Amino acid sequence: MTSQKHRTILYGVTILLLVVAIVAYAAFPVPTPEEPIRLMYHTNAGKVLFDHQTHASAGGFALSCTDCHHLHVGEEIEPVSCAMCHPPRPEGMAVPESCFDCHMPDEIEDPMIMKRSDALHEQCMSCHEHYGKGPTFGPDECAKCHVM
Amino acid sequence: MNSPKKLIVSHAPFWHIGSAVPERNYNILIAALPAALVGIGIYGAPALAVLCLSVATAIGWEFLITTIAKRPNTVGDGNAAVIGLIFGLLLPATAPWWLVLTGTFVAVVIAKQSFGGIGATPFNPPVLAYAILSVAWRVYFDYDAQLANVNVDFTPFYPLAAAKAFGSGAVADIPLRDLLLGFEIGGIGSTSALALLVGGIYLVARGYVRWEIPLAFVVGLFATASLFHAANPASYAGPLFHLLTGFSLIGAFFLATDDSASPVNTVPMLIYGVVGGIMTMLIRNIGAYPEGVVFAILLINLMNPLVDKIRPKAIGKVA
Ligand code: HEC
Ligand code: HEC
Ligand code: HEC
Ligand code: HEC
Ligand code: HEC
Repeated sequence: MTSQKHRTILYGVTILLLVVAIVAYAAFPVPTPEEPIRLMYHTNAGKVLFDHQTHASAGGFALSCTDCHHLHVGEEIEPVSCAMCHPPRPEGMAVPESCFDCHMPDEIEDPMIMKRSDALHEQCMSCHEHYGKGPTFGPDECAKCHVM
Repeated sequence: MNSPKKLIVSHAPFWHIGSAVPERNYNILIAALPAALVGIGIYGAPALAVLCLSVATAIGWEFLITTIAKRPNTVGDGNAAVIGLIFGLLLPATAPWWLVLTGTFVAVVIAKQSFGGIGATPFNPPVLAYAILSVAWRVYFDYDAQLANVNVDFTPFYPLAAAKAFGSGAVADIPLRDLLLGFEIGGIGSTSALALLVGGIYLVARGYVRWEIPLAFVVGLFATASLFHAANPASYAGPLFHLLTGFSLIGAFFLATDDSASPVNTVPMLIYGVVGGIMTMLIRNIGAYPEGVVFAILLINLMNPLVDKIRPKAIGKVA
C-alpha cells in the first residue's frame, strides 16, 4: 500500500504536469505556416503528400515560386494557394474578400477554369516530365504519388 | 475487492523480483524517460504538452474511476502514470488535447479498470487505446498528415508509410544514424532506437522486464523482415530498417512486456515474442496498415492465456 504522503506528492506532480500541458498547448500551438511545408491531400484515390518546402527551397529541388504559382506572383502580391482560383471541389469555393480589392466579381468567378485536382495533375506531371525526374503521366506513375 | 480478511491470489505477474509494484512502475517511467526527452528535443513544446497531458489525465482518470467505483485508490502505484506516458509516446507531437484525453480514458477506464485493474488486464492498456482510437480517427494517427506543418531537417515523411507505398527504394537513403537518434517522423517517443534500447536494457538488467519477450520479439521481427527482403529486395525494406523504425523497439520493450497480458514461463514467453515480431512484419508488408506493432501486440495479448498453458508439470501429482 502506498502512504498518504506519497500520494500527496503524486497529486502535486499531476497538477503540475496538467498546468505545464495547458500552458504548452495554449502558448505553443503548431502554427500553420505562411508558406506550406508539406501538404497532405486526402483524395478519393488515396492520399498524396506534396513536399512543398523541398520543391521550393534552394537545398531541395531549387525551383522558383513562379514555376508553379503562375499568376499573381510578383511585387504586388504573394503567391496564394491554387485553390483560390482552381476550385478544389466541384461546387467551388468561397472567394476571399481580399480579391475584390483588385477584381470585379465577374472577372474571377470563371466557370471554365480547371478544378484543382486537374490543375495539380497537369502541373506536377508536366514539370516532372520536363526535368525527367519525379512521377509523370502514365498508369504506372499514379502509385508514386498516391498512397492508398 | 481487497478485503484484508481473505487471502487473495492475484492474476499474473508472478515473477518475484524482490520489489513491489510501485517500484516497478517508477522504474518503467525512468526507463521511458530517454525516449520522452528525445521526442521533446525534436518536436519541442508540443511534444511536452502531449506527454504532460497524457500522464496527468491518465492519473486523473484512475483517481476518478477508483473513487466512483469505491475501489482502493491505486493512483500511488504509478501504473496510471506509466499508461499515460507510454500512450503519449506513441502519439504524434501535434495530437490535439481531446485526443489525448479520450485516449487515456480508453486506456485507464476501459482497458484497465473495467477488466479489474492492475494485474487483470488482458490487453496492454495503451495499446488497446491506440488501436481503438486509430481505427476511429485514422487521420489523427497518420504521422505524415499530422506533422505536415512541422519543419524538420531530416527525411520529411513517415518511413513505414513510404516503404509500404513506394517500396524499399524510397527509404534507402535514410541514414541509420537518424533512425538510431530519432530523427524520424513518427510517434513522440517511439523514434529513437538508441533511447529505447537504453531504457529497455535498463529494465531487463534490473529484472523488471524478462529478457525473453523483447529478444524473441526482435528476433521474430528481424527474421521475418529478412525473409521478405531476400524474396523481393525492391518491394520490402531490409530488417535493420524495420527494426529501427516505427514502434518496433518501443513495442519489444514497453508494450509487449505488459505483465498481466504476457506469459510467465520461458517457452511461452519466447513463442509470444516471436509471434509478435512475425505478425508485425506480416501486417507491415502485406497487411492494410503501414505499422503492425499495435495490432500484433493485441493479437499476442489475446493468445497469451493459450500459450501460458505450456508449462512444466507439477511434480508428484497425477494431472
Ligand atoms: C512545385 C510547385 C511549387 C513551388 C515551386 C512553390 N509552390 Fe507554393 N504551392 C504549391 C502548391 C501545389 C500549393 C497548394 C495549393 C492548394 O492546395 O490549393 C502551394 C501553396 C502555396 C501557398 C498557399 C498556402 C495556403 O494554404 O494559403 C503559399 C503562400 C505558397 N505556396 C508560397 C510559395 C512560395 C513563397 C514559393 C517560393 C519560395 C512557392 N510557394 C513555391 C506549389 C508550389
Ligand atoms: C489567381 C488565380 C490562379 C491561381 C492562384 C492559380 N491559377 Fe492556375 N490558372 C488560372 C487561370 C485564370 C488559368 C487559365 C488561364 C491561363 O492559362 O493562364 C490557369 C491555368 C492553369 C493551368 C493550365 C495551364 C496551361 O498552360 O494549360 C494549370 C496547370 C494551372 N493553372 C495550375 C495551377 C497551380 C498548380 C496553381 C497553384 C500553384 C495555380 N494554377 C494557381 C488562375 C490561377
Ligand atoms: C493586388 C491586386 C490583386 C489582388 C488582391 C488579386 N488579384 Fe487577381 N489579378 C490581378 C492582376 C493585376 C491580374 C492580371 C495580371 C496577371 O495576369 O497577373 C489578375 C488576374 C487574375 C486572374 C486571371 C484573370 C484572367 O482572365 O486571366 C484571376 C482568375 C484572378 N486574378 C483571381 C484572383 C483571386 C481569386 C484573388 C483573390 C485570392 C485575386 N485575384 C486577388 C491583381 C490582383
Ligand atoms: C516546376 C517543377 C515541378 C513541379 C510543378 C512539381 N515538381 Fe515534383 N519534382 C520536381 C523535380 C525537379 C523533382 C526531382 C528532384 C530530384 O529527384 O532531384 C521532383 C520530385 C518529385 C517527387 C519525388 C520525390 C523524390 O524525393 O524523388 C514527388 C513525389 C513529387 N515531385 C511530387 C510532386 C507533386 C505532388 C507536385 C504537384 C503538386 C509536384 N511534384 C510538382 C519538380 C516539380
Ligand atoms: C505528381 C503526383 C501525382 C501523380 C503521378 C498522380 N496524381 Fe492523382 N492527385 C495528385 C494530387 C496532388 C491530388 C490532389 C488534388 C486535390 O485534392 O485537389 C490528386 C488527386 C487525384 C484524384 C482525386 C480527384 C478529385 O477530383 O478529387 C484522382 C481520382 C487521382 N488523383 C487519380 C490519379 C491517377 C489515376 C493517376 C495516374 C494516372 C494519378 N492520379 C497520378 C497527385 C498525383
